[in-house]
This record gives sequence, structure tokens and C-alpha cells, in this order.
Amino acid sequence: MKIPKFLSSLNVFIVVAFISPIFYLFFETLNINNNLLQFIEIWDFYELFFKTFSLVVGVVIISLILGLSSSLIISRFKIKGSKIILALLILPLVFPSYIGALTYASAFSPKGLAVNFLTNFGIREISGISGYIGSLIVLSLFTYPYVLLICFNTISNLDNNIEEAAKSLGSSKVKLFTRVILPRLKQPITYSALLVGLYVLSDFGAVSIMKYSTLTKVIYTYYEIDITGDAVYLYSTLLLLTSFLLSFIQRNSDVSNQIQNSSRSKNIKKKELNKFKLFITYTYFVLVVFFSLILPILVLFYWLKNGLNSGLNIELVYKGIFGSIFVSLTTGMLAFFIAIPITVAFTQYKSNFNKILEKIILTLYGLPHITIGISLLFISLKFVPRLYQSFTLLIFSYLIVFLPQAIGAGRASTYQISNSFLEASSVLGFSRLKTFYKVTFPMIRNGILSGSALVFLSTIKELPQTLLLRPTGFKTLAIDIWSFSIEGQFTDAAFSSIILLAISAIPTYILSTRNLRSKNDI
Amino acid sequence: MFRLKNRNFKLFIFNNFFILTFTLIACTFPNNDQGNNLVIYSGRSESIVDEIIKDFTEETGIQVDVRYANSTELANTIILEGNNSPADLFFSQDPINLEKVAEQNLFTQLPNEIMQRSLNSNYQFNNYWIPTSIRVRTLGYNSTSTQQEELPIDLYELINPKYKNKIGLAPTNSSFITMVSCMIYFDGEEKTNTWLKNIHDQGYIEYPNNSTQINAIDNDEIKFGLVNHYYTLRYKSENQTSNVKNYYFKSGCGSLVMPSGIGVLKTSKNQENATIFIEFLLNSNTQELITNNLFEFPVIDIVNQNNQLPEINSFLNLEPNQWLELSKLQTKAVELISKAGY
Repeated sequence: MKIPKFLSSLNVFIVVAFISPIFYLFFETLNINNNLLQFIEIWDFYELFFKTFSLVVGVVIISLILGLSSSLIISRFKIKGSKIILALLILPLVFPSYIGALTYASAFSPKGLAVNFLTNFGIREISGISGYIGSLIVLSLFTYPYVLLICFNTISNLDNNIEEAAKSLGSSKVKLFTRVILPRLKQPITYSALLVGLYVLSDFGAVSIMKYSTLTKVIYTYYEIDITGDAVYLYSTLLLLTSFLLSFIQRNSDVSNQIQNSSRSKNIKKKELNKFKLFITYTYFVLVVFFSLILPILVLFYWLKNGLNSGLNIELVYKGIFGSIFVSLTTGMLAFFIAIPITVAFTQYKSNFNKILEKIILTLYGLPHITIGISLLFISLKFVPRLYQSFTLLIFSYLIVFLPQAIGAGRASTYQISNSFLEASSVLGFSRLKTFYKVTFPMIRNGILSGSALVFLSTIKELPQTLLLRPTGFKTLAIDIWSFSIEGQFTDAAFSSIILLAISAIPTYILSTRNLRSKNDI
Repeated sequence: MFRLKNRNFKLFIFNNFFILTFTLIACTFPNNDQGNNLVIYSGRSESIVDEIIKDFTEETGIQVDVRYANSTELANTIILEGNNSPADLFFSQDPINLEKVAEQNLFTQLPNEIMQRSLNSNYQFNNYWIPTSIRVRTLGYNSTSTQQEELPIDLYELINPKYKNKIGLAPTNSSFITMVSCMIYFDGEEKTNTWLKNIHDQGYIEYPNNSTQINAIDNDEIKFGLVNHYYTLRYKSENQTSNVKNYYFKSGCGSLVMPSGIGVLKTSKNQENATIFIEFLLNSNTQELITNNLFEFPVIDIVNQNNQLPEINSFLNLEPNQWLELSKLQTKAVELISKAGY
């Protein structure tokens, strides 16, 4: 079937509008008149590159270890309460990185909360968690659930006959792991490593609070000092291109489709563990859950209690709540309506051109928000000053990075339904509009709706773009949390964090685990 | 199959609920009519400005929207915005950033009668902006863990190895950049560069701003912090038992006197209300609040300075043309700070 012209041009228009920030930054960078070598010397290029790279690698390794080990243990061994354990292990993904960083920074400052508690054991001072170690801990603890989700999904889909066969042939445990289990998990491991790497590369909140200079933090620092300086352009472009590449590989890999389209789990015989090993396993899970979930919550509530005792000013957060909900709902709704024509085009009319458009759109999801924000700020000032610091621009910027979530979810719901529906519809003589109304739309509706709910949740947590593009006087919970944290006002920051989590935590959890729950048993 | 249907049904309910909530909120959301609100770009932090703004709105009925950010960032933003700037007023931490905007000819000239209200007659600044309070650079320290003889004579003594890993600073803070610009102006680029490099290489602790440094001094994370004087005093008034204190260097940029000031943008469509706001900042109630609650030096003579504040005359006080020179050195200062590895 040929795609209607208006639909096709609408999609091209949307895609072009969405990738304009990338091109703008790229061309501005080409115009930099400074000598590149001189630039590298002045702005400490190598150190920055090393710092960013080492954090990405560190977090990827730790979150892979945490995520992979727990998914293997839960899917291969008989453990009482494994459903609850799995849920608790996944839950930390509801924390935005800056809230995680806030709890760790405030609890483990040299004379902070942890010391209050540790004085009972004779410890009066600790060296504090910040910089590389702080960022590493926080980002690993709040990204491993993604690895867990992805690997658990794949592992439950693999049967363990091969493992049994290898064992009966007398292969050792080490060999079994390296030769049989790991190779089969190569794809999900690469996929989740890319996902986590991308997350760390674009993270702004956690590294800022932890005072560790990665590309994103440095871009913002230079932005503060010299808004149109070479450093801002060059580093933003560099970061944008790197993450575009990573995101392109990640979002369009086979695993991406498999995960969204995973079938029922195979019946796997789970093995018993002896008492000692069971004890070790439980201790491990308790430790992970404690540091990634219980501790941050305890810290937040400690500060809340402190705040309530000293008279918390609720008026302070009222504006933030209202602002957050307003922009997030608007973005979520718009995402729903814009995602429809795009998803229809991608499902109803399959062409190579559409495939390219789809790949580009899906790639946008992983892009660092700070660079999109900076680019749109410059574009609006230069070409459309009317939109500068407007809600329209802010919401447009959200759509660029979050719309792929709605489209992705819409696409996922169509993978299971074959082309024959469309063919049948055309054989029956339905017009294209009727096909859309009777066949395609009902197929994608719920997918896009739950995708739009995800857009809502992502928007409510968004920080750097809001920081750069918000209308003057406009506030969101994320902005409040960030500005309170850097001012060291932890009680106020904790109060806003708790409200943000109260709004977003449960739906985030439900939507992120919807693939898991559609299976019969965990 | 039944399970699947049930799930879709739940999703359907959830989603419709989502649409319904949106519609309700969209209907009740007030029209954000920013056209008449006074827009202030404030480099001074929310904890300082918010109270003043509230009083102002209560007294005059004029609604205000404030954009809080670093003074340097805001000055650069205003210059970048040029004729399209939505701002009516620029309220800055220090003269450097005000002078930068003034040099681009983006401020409107204030009437003489307003300029004369500010005490410091030497601050005329071509009537482009007006000082609203005075602050001083200082060294914060903890008087329980630090003896008098441990205190340095001037900034340059801080590169003595005995201060290794004991100093905190906020390298991106406007006031710090201003201090470095001042050092370049008076002591030369080379000496400043050596100082920055030495402090960096011997070990220091980085903070995002002044208030976090004072916190850290109280917690013994650091012994000294290069801050503005009022952060220490304010912290102490909120934490009576704390022993954080200010040490004022006898001379040099370490105790630079920095007026904080405000100017009206040429492009402002709210010139009248903007002037009312400046008058409000200079009235005796606000000036009393500024010195009694916020521990800064007042700029009108009928208000006495807070008795916890030192005698200001001995500190380094610049002439308007010197501030202009300093504003031209700001980029150099940033470059040196970055080159030194901060």
C-alpha cells in the first residue's frame, strides 16, 4: 500500500523538527573560529574525557554484575519469596538519579546522618561520599534494575536444556557459566550495557550533586560562565553525537524488539540450594535492597521528620507540584496525539523510508537532555524569539526526547499482529481511513496510551531541559529538588522528593514491569 | 485469553482516567498572563530575594516573576538575548556583571533623584545601575578548631603547604570569579595564575556555592572557605551554637568590597514598575531587612549597619572605572581558573 502524501509529509516534518537541535549544534560547532588544538589545551579536554569514560565504564560493570547475578539466581534457583525479592530489586528504578544522589550526599557527608548513627559504634567522622566514588555508587545502584529487567526477561525465555546437557557431560561450573550461559546472554548484556552507559553519559543531576565533572556537568558549568563559548558548543556536539551513535545501536538492536515482544516463559526446572548457600543468597539480596531502596527512603523520611519538627513551609512546594503536573500532563497528552500518525505510518505502510524515520525517532530517546536544551535555547533566540522561555518550547523539548517512548510502546503492541489483518481489511474493500479506524487504531491505542503515561512520568522527573528552557517564575518539583540540594537545604529537598516519588513511583513501577507481569509465572 | 482482555480493560480504565484528569486540570489552569508581571533576572539567591519580593507584591500589588541563576550566566544571557530580552530588571551579585551589561548599552539610565538615594556617592556608574547593598569577600573559618595564629595574612599566604586540603572554594561562583579578576587587575596575570595553580595542585575542596562551604566549615570538612561575609553571619544566626566566623584580610582582593546592584533594561516594557521596585529596595524598611536579617551593609544613611558587621573603610573599595576594567578581565579570569584545572 502506498502511504498517503499528507501522512508522509507530516511525519517528515515531525522528524525534521525533532532533529533540528542536533544539526544546529553541529553547524555552530563547525563555525568555531578557535584552533581546535588550542581549545583542547585550554579546556582540559583529555582529563574530562577520561573522567567521563571511567565513570561510564565503572557504572556499567557494577550494574551488570548486580543485575545479571540477581536475575540468574532468581530464575535458576528455588528461592522462597522470589516474586517479592524481584519486585524489591526492580523498585529502585523509580528514583530519579538526582534524588538518589541527594540521599547519599546528605547521609554520607563527613559529619552527616551516617555519623550520627555510627557514633554509637565509636565512629565520629567518615571521609564522605562524593566525586567519582559517590557518582559510581549512586548511578550503579539506580541503574542495575534496568539490567535486571532486561536480563531476567531473556533468561526466562531461554530453556535450560543446554545447561543440563553441558552439566551431564561433566563441564565444571566455571565453564558452564563462561561457555554456556554467558554466550547466550551476549545480546541482552550488550543491550543493557549500552542502556546503562547512555544513562550515565547523559546524567546531569547525580554528577552535579556529587561534584564529579563529567561532560554534562562541565557543559553546564561553561554555560554558566560563557554562554556562547566554544566549550559549550564543542562539548555539547561531542556529547550529542556520541550518544546518538550509542542510542542508535541500542534502540534498534534485535534485543530491543525481542524485549518488547517477549513471549511466554519456558517452563524451567528451578534447582534447590543448600542452607548455607541460601543464607548467602538472602544476605546478598538484603544488602542490595537495603542500599538501593531502603536507605534512600529512610534518609528522605529522616529529613522530612526533621522538617516537620522545625515547621516545614508547605507553600514552598505548592508551586512546584502544580507546575510539574501541568507540564507533564500536557506533554503526555500531546505525545498521545502526535504518536498516532507516526505509529500508523510505521505499521500500516512499511517502506524503507519509514524504517529510517522510525529508527531516527527511536534514537532520540537516549539523547542527553542538557544538549537538547542548550540547542533549543539558542535556536529559539536566533530564529523564533517569541518561543524563547515559553511553555510551547519547553513542551516541544520534552516531546523530542520522550515521544519515542509513546511510539515505541505503540509499535510494540503491533508486533504480535501480522500483516494479514491489513490485507484482509483491504480485500474486504475497506477504505484506508476505515482500515485505520477499524483495524490499526484499536491495535495501537492502548500501547500508545501506556506509552504516553510513560512520557508523563519521564517529564515529571526531567531536570536539565526544564532548568534551561523554563518560563521565568515557573517551577517544577525537579527544579525545586535540584536548587534546594545545591544550596544544602536537605529538608526542603527531601520534602519535594517525597512528593515527586508519591506521584510517580507506583505508575513507573507498573509500566516498567508490564512485560514481566504478562507472563504466567515469575 | 480472558486474562489478556482483563488486562487491556484495566489499561483502558487507567488511560481514560489519565485523559479525564488532564482535561480537568487544563480547564482549571489559570491563564499564565506574564505580560504585566515584572520580570527580574536575579543573580542573588532565592533565600535572600524571596522575602523582599513578597513584601514588594504585598505593598504595591505588582506581581513579580523571578529567574534565579548565577549572575555571570544571567549577564551573558541578557547580552545573548539582546533586543529580545524578556527581563525588566537585572539584579546582580556584583558590579562586574552589571558593567558587562552596561557596556553593551542594554541598560536604561536611571533618574538622578534615584541615584542620589544610594549613600555611596562615588558609585555613580553612569546612572546605568545602582548599588542596593554592600558585601565583602572574606575567609570563613571555625573558631573552635582554628587558632588565631593559623590565619593567613593575605590570600597569597594560602599557598603555604600548611593549608593543603584545608581550603574550600566555589570556582564557578560569580563572586569568586570577581575576586580572581581583581587579583589579575592589581597583582598581574602571572601572579594570579601561579596562585590558582598552587591552590589547585596542593589540594582544595570544591563547592557549588558559598553556603555549602559554611556548612562544610561547621562540619569540619574544611578549615577555611573563600566566601562572602554575610553567609557566615547568616549561618551563625540560624545555628546559634556554631562557631563559624569571618576573618577579614587586612588588604588586597581577599577583602574586596562588592556592591550588589540592580539596573533596568532598555527593552523593558515595564519601566515604571521597574523603577518602583528599585525605590522599594532603597527604602528604609527593606534596607533594615537587608542589614538586620541578611547581614549586608545598607546603602542609605538613615539605616545603621548591623552591629555584627565590621568597619568597612579599611577594605579594598574600587572606583566605578576600576569595575569597568575588572569586567573586561572576567573572561581572562575564567580562562585562568579553567586552565589551572578547576
